Amino acid sequence: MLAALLGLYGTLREGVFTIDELNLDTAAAMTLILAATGQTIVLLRGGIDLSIGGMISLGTVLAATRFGTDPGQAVAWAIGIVAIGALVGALNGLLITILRLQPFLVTLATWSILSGTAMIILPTDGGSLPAGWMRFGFASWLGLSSSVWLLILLLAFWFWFKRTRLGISIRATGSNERSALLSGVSPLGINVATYALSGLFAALAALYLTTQTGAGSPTIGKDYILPSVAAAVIGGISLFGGRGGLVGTIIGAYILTLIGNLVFVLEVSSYWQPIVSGIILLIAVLASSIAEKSARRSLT
Amino acid sequence: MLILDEATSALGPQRDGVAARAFARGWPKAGTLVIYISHRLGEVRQIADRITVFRNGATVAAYDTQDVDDETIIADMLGRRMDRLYPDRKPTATERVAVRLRGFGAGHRLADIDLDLREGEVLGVAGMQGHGQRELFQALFGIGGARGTVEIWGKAKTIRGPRQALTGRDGLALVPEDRRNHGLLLSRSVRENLTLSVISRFTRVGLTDPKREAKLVDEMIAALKIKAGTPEQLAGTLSGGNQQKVIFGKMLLTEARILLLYDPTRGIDVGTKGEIFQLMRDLAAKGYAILFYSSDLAELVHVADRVAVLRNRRLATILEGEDNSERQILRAAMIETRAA
Repeated sequence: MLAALLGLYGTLREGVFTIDELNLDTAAAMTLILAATGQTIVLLRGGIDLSIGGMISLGTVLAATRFGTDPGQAVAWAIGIVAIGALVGALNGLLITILRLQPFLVTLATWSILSGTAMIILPTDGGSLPAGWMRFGFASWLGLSSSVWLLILLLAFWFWFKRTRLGISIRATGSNERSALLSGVSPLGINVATYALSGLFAALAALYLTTQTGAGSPTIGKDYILPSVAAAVIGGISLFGGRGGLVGTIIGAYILTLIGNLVFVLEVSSYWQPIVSGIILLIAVLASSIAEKSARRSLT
Repeated sequence: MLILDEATSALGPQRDGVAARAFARGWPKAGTLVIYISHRLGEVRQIADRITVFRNGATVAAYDTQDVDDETIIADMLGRRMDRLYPDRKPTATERVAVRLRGFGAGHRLADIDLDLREGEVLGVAGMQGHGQRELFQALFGIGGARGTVEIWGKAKTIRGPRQALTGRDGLALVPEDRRNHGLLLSRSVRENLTLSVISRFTRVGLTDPKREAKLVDEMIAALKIKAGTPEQLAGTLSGGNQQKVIFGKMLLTEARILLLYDPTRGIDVGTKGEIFQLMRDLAAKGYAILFYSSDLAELVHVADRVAVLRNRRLATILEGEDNSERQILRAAMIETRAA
């Protein structure tokens, strides 16, 4: 599907199949990719994390109001924001496990709390970021932009992570919670780690976003909640847990981003973007449901 | 026409004969063609006029019921003459106590259990469904809380959950009742299922080593003769018997020497059953301590050294030697006995 979209895009515009275009598209997709990485881990566990919306908003407003001009201070706050993301996620995991609550509802609540906190810190879009911070997006090495290198780093992380004890246990718990428990996988540990990682990636997404926008926004996070799930599902991840991987999610995120580019190139109303995204999501869900059914049929 | 496919497999031993009685009373009404599929040979014998034996998806034999004996049918099911279903039972128990329970209980379903499981012993557990055996196994594995004292290999131990239960040389491993939903990840590979409990055995600096993992997996597949095309075959696509072998393999990869087997042969083919019984006796001879519940009393009588009978959430009696018979087990499980 990505190939088809790329083909269509390529015929409509010059210079699509160049490194410049890769750099540009990756920069456009990277915030979503980072947010969707966390979401992918949660979906593999069989959960969902809506609170990433609040975390992204909170991350951008904290960056835009606290970084100041001193590089040391900015780095300290950046680390702090990532830590906050991981902590809030860990709290989600604790609530879900100990109180046996639905992930959907717990993270809906923490999303709301985080969004409100972001509003208190910075009621409207604004603030500023150090000039050096915003140069991140323009940095490049060997012709590849910092965003592409970030993507490569992310893929390396994934190929490491999925072979760790934690990665295997998360997927096992998503496949069958009871069997995983009886096999000695600790549900509390898994949930805390899963949602902490999701919060951490949401914080990274927020930091990346500020290098692109140069401002904080207390409402921008909600634009990433459902697209992060959509990117994962388009990439073949099952909402029932256990099935799929990050590569699929990244392709899904590129597809969603390319739709935006296409709508722009075709010079149609920008309202077409969510419509086309929705149609593609439907096709993906249908394909995934067929795959699920045939997989189930093969299990005697 | 009526097709009954393993219609009685979920019923406990006390319901043996329930189908035969129904048929004796004239159900279903005369003139109905009945196809009765069952792994309970006795049942088939009582009910059927003719018996057809399938193996690997093909008809291997067909008989009129009165013309054929059980041995022949079992041989047809196996594709070979099976000497016996049950292995030799040389007593291998030592004096060393692996699990000592005193005043052990769980919830409202189990109370006042005093029981010793010894090294090298297969200790059977019998009881009518719902008389505490499930709770005994779960509580020992750290699910659902427990009362009373537990000593493992002579040391007091509180088992707080499966993860802790499985860990270490003083660990306990469980074959759960529901093979498909509690024992396996059906949509994951044989390899992943086998090694899920022992990931740390092949992890170096946070990363799993596929070669070390493959070695463990290949050895276990060979040792238990698990019939899988490759270790990457999905567990859900294996036959029931091979699925159960995967669960045994997973358990044997841990260091645990105390095995809790909850109805491990339910719904699996006769050939694999025989292999599992042999494996249990071999493990006992190696010094494993095995707690073994079965819904088939004959298995307890022929495989276990002693049988603890539960009734009404308490330990009714422990039978051994001559007393370890289906008749005595049923008596103890159903009838109030006075202490001698």
